[in-house]
Amino acid sequence: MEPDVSIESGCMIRIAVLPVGDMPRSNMRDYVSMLLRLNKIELSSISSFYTEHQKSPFAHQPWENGSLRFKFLVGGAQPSAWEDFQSNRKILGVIGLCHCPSSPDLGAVYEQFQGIRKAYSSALVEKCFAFCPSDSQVQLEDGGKKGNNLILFPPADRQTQEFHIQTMMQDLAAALLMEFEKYVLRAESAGTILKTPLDSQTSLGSEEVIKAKKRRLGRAQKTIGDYCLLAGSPVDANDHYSTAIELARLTGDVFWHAGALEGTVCALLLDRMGQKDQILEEAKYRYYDVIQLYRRVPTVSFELQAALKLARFLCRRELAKEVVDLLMSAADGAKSLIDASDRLVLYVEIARLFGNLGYERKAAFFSRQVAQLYLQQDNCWAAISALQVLAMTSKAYRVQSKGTNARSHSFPNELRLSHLEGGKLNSQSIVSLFECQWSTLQMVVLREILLSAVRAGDPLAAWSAAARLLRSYYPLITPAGQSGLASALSNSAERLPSGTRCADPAVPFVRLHSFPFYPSQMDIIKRNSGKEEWWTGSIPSGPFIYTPFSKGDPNESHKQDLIWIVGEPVQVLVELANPCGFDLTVDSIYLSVYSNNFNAFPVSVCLPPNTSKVISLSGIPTSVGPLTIPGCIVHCFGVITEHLFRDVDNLLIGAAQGLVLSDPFRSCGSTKIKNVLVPNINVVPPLPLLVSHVVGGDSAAILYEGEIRDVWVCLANAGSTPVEQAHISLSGKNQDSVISIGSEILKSALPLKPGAEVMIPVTIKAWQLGLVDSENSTNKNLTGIIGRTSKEGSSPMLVIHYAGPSQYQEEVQTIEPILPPGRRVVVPLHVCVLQGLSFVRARLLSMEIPAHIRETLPIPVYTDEAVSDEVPVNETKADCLVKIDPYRGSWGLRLLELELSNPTDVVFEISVSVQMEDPTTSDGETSDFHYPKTRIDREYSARVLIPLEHFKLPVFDRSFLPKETKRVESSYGKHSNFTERHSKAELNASIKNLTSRIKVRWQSGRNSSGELNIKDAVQAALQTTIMDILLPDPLTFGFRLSRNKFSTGPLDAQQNARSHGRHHSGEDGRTKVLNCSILAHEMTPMEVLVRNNTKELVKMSLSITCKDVAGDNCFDGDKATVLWAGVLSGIRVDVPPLQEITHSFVMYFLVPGEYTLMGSAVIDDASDFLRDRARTDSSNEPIFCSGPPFRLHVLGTA
Amino acid sequence: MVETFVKSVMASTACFVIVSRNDIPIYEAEVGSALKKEEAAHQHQFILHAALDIVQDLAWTTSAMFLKAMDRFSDLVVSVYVTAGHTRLMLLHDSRNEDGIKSFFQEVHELYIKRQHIYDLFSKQLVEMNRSICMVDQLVELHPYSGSSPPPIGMVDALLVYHNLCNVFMLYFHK
Repeated sequence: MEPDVSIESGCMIRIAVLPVGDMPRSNMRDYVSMLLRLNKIELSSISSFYTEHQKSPFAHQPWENGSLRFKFLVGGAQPSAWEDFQSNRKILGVIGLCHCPSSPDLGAVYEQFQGIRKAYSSALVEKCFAFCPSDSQVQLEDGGKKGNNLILFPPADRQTQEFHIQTMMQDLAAALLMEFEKYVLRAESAGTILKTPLDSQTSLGSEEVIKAKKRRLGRAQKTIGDYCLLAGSPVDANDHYSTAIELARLTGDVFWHAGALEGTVCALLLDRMGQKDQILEEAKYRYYDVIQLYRRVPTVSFELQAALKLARFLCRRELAKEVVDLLMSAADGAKSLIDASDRLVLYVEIARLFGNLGYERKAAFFSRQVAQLYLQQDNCWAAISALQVLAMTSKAYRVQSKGTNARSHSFPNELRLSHLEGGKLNSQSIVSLFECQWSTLQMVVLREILLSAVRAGDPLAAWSAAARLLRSYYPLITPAGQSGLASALSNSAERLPSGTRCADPAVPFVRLHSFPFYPSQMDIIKRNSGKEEWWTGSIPSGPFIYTPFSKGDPNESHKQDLIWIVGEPVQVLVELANPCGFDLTVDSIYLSVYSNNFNAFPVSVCLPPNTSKVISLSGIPTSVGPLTIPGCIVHCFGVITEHLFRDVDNLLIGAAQGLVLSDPFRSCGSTKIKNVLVPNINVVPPLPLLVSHVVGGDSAAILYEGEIRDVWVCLANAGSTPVEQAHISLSGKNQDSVISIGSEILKSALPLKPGAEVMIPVTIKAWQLGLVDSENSTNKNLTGIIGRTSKEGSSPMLVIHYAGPSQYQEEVQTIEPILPPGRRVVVPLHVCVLQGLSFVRARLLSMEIPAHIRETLPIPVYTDEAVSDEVPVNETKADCLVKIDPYRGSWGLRLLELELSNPTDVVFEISVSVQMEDPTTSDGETSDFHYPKTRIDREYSARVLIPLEHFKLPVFDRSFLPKETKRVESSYGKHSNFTERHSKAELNASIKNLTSRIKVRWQSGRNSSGELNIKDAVQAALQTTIMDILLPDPLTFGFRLSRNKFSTGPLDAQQNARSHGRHHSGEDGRTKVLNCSILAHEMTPMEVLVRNNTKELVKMSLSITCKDVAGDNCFDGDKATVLWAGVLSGIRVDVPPLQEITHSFVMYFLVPGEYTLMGSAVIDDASDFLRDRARTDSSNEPIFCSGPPFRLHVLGTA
Repeated sequence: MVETFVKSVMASTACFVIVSRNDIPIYEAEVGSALKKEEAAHQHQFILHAALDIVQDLAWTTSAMFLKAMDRFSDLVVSVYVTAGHTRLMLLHDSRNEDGIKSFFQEVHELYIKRQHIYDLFSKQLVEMNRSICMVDQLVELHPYSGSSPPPIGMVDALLVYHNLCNVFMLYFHK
């Protein structure tokens, strides 16, 4: 059997094309390609070369539109035993091809050609084409003896050469035509003995000889017909064939009958060229006859060949059924073929025809049969052929190598489309991806490819097949089989040069795990060019921070942009899985980047059987521009392969839908992760990079509650561009605890050059622990949003937004300057707050401090009240707040008691300071009173007393009172009008003011110091009695000796305006003593000073009481042992508002001793306000005011 | 059941495959009295796989569901039963007992359609999963080629279904 036969083969002149001399392969390919184009030579074009020696037997030669057809057999062919039967099988011409530059001796070449051509006895014409001869060769040849048979083609361009060859071919065609004429004429006249192998099988009996003689004529006619066909004259051929058919039928020469009938069909086709459809039925009909006839012949191959010819003729979609029937019956005939190579040809042809028909699977099936036949021949060439044939089948079985798989490029589109549908994959399209899950067949085919590749010595193909087999079908392969494949991979790789790449990845499976966050120290923030505060309004560019708002917009959610910076290393996490039963060593794996702007760092991994591993692949972007990471380059089993993330994603989608055998990651025990999309990565020019650390270590500062400490944050620019803008803000919890940040220091350090660093002080005051806990519960929602900060605990964070130059140098020219992004560094101020000194409670106490009376009289007398008012205060500043001045007394002293406990194991020292507002200075300058420190030992509590005397207001203003009264007396039912509210606010403000002036500081050890937050507690304690603390008495009484009489006595009974009278004489009080040296039996002129602290004129009846008392408690009316008492009463005075009046009187003491002097007044026509203050019940009750007692020491004169 | 069939038609070789409309084999059974060789089994599958090309064309040219001996390769014949949902029941066999084969196909198809009743025995979930295809199969049979394509199902589901189906086959035929 012959390959590539068709009905038209009958009219093709076979010409052997043979290389002669030394022929480089590439030249051979060139020359042959030029020759192969000339497979059809028009008769009209050869007429110039044709000379009619005799009358042509081809009477109906179509010189206008006919042609001669050639079939070039490159490399030649063995002569066929059947060439008498089918003349087209004869090799009628020989063309030698010679490349002169490599074969200098043309004589030798020609001799070699002569030798070769002898093998082709049937050849009628022979030519040797010698290309590119040198001048010397040409000269030699000019005088040569080789005749026309050696044709030199001078060096020329291809077009010229083609033209030359064409001319020579036309010449050759004309020569052939003339030879055919000669042959036909000879055959007609003399006749030749035509035999086929069928004839020789039978012994030549006498009957046979007679029969043979009869048949000879018919056979000759058939042969002449064949030559007519070859000569391109179908009409002549038809005539001869008709005769031959008649004769063959008569002589029962079935075989030749069939041959002639076959010839008529060919003639018909040739004659009615281009009208194939019209003659289809006719040709088909005749050919079925041919097949029938051939069926009666012992040799089955002609029947099969005829079937194949018809099938090829009919091969089109509409006639598929018929073609299939023909091919199926041809395939059935295969088992009757004895010769394996015949079967091979048959299967090849069947496969080709099925392929033409579009029956991919059928074609693959027969191709595989061909491959198996090849594999049965145990040699390398057959194995190579088998490999090639199997490679063709791999498409139909969907096991093709990626290198040859064009469809793989169309995959991404499909998948991208489906991804765009909101992640809902149309399973139909997925089915088409994994179409044809004939895994058994696929494995068999791959195994056969592997086998043939190994035999053919093609290590790369073997590697590829083993890789495909292992990667796709590992679940179906036993561990032993998997190891076998692994060793096949290794063995193949040993024969490959190192660094060989293969398109088909093997194991491991690689999928994208995640793009790790930029550490919060390196966050990149898009700059908002429109704003001064460029970081606002732009979300952090860190990847995958989930925002619920972007969900609705598919474009947004899929196009996550990632910014990488030139020169800054980045990381990508990938997950590797080895689902196989052997230890897998990945020699190196690194990110695959096509855009050439990334330096990937390879790592090597070892994966035990059935394990998966997440590894971090890193690299450095090298230049600006977009960057894509389609997958990883893996160097494993000695070959470099690219593992695309997309493929694994598809695989996983398939696994999820049950279309793929197994999910390699799940079988390795890896958890399911969400499909990670590769974000668009953009590489930007270098940015500054601030690196921060807290001076003294980044570990948490341990602070007690309320402790204040300075923390120094060191910021260094580790980038390669200067920081030109920077802004510090706070975030996280307990932002209040940061008291101050040295932003100015940072600002002044700008621009911060690369490598430079700056230290910023931050003052932190540790927060209260209890408060934080409550915040935790209330702020739960808030912390959920902040996300990252919640992890950092309750410490506040410094957020520093900074940016480099706003324009790159190169981009100055561009019309729209693109702002390079800024960055953000988050410096967590790690603070660990320990429970410190705790505040237990605050109470208001009315302390009774006994007055100590001294003999000395240190207080000088001043005429100027203002001075006398101030100077003593200043002098006694240091201790007046805790020590009671015995000469001034402390009548009804109010004290604030703070109870503090120290649960810690360190000692605290408490210092209380009160800020005093100086009434005399206009600018409100304050002065502090410091109490001596109180020490609280560990696990003890202590109380600190704060006198509240200094908070008295200078004026008894009614504005405070109504509110108070209303609150006290009638808190229900009365509308609070605006003024009330106003006054209330004022009151509150004053309370706040008061409390804020009390500061309790503590110190522990050498470093820790802080302030106790007691405001709220103090406020609560003072709330009810604030009036008594703040408001002065309406009237202040004071006594002094009148000096104008006693200039020698620097004695003074003056009590300054801050001494307070009591309106309830019986109330608890301590005697305030006015000490002076007064002699008995002398007139002692004195003055009583009455100051009106209200803003109204007060009319009153003043009384002065003088008592001689024994014992301490001389004023509690009942108990006092009053030895003597005298009253000066009924002095009517009017005191203008905020004024002071002086009333002089004279006292004369008879008995030396202790006397007490006390001023009191009954106020006439008291206003409601005063009444309220006095808390009287009825309006008729007189308002009685009394001052503190003053003590007089009267000395005897003796 | 397939073995029962083999006995009934005296087939020494038989390979039964159910191929889904997506050309995915969802059930395979290698049966036959002949010695079972792995390679032969592979070859059977190759033949059946190749026969799909023929079926795909042939199914549209005839209204018959049973395509007898529509393909052959070296003494082995492929008979196919195409359901209205274009699921193909394919049998590779070496004898020509057409009636036996046809009734075998019909029984299988009947079970294939009725299987939702059978699934009640197994799992309600499976019923839910497969009711859709069954219904569509029935619908399409009432109105052949109405153009409505059955909803796709995962291969694993189908595989489960058919394994159960086969168990039922066994029960059914051992009765």
